[in-house]
Amino acid sequence: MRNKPQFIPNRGELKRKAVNYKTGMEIKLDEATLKKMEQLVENSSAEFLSETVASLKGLREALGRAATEPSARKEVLDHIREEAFQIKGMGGVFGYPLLTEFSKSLHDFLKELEDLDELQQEIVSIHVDTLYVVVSHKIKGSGGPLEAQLRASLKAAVDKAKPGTKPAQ
Amino acid sequence: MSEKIDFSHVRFLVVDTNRLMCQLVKDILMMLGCTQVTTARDSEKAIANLRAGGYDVLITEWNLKPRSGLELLDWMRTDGGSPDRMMPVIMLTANSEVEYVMESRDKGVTEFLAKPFTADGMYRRLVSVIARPRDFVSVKGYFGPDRRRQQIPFEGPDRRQQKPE
Repeated sequence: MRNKPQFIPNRGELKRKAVNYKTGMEIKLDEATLKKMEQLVENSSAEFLSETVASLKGLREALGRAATEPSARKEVLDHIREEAFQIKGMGGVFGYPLLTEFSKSLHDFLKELEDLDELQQEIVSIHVDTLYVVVSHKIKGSGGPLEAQLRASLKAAVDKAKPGTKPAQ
Repeated sequence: MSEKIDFSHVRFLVVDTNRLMCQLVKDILMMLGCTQVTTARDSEKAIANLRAGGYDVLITEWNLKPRSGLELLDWMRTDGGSPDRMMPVIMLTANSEVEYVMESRDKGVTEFLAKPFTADGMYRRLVSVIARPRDFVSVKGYFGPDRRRQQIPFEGPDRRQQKPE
């Protein structure tokens, strides 16, 4: 390491090995290859949905544990955070942008938390229920009236937990 | 005639805690013609694989254990035990916010692809790391691909061609 930048030319070994004018894939992705790639993703979509259902079921069980065992809350929090992260990354890949959007909302909500009090458990629960609706109805779009309704109910739930918000009487 | 990429000559290591994601990325690479794709579900296994050698491109998630994908990238770029400090690294992660992009860039990532990704987005990153290799920069606090990507015409002397003092 040095103060004055040193520029190191790329050895270009990988390019020499793989790039040519005879065999392989076109640099510019052609329509047929793109379709094949998308088909591969589509083929795994059912597996993704079934794994997501299992994950959501696990989250419901974890929430039940958090409600009855306060000492387990930290562990439950880590588990929910991890599952939310996974669904956030996968949903949109498999054509479920709402799963990505709502699990991002859940992940963001949990980001700074160190415990999971009753109100926070309720908000997680609303997220899990909303994710279930998306999975069970296989909602692939993101702009219809049902989607808007789900989005609004989640936002209202998250807003409830914001600092300075008075609990409902 | 146009340039082509023969993916059968490129060896990949894909690291992600998620089994389905590992499998999907592997399937896509195989469909493109790759014949050597290894997957690892944690960073220690990834490091063991990398140390054993035989990889050209690393694709990694940020969210790994016990070391994060960012730490894995840092290990690749700066550790004495790294098998190839200039190996292309694609960060494929659901940590998609801009601060993660900047942090990856500052640790020497070659390409960043946010999840959820599209097939087209994935392909463009692959083309970039294989067919458009970037020079590297070594400076105090940074070792990695040249972070300046814009090609702006410049009339003055090319100081990059001068030997360091």
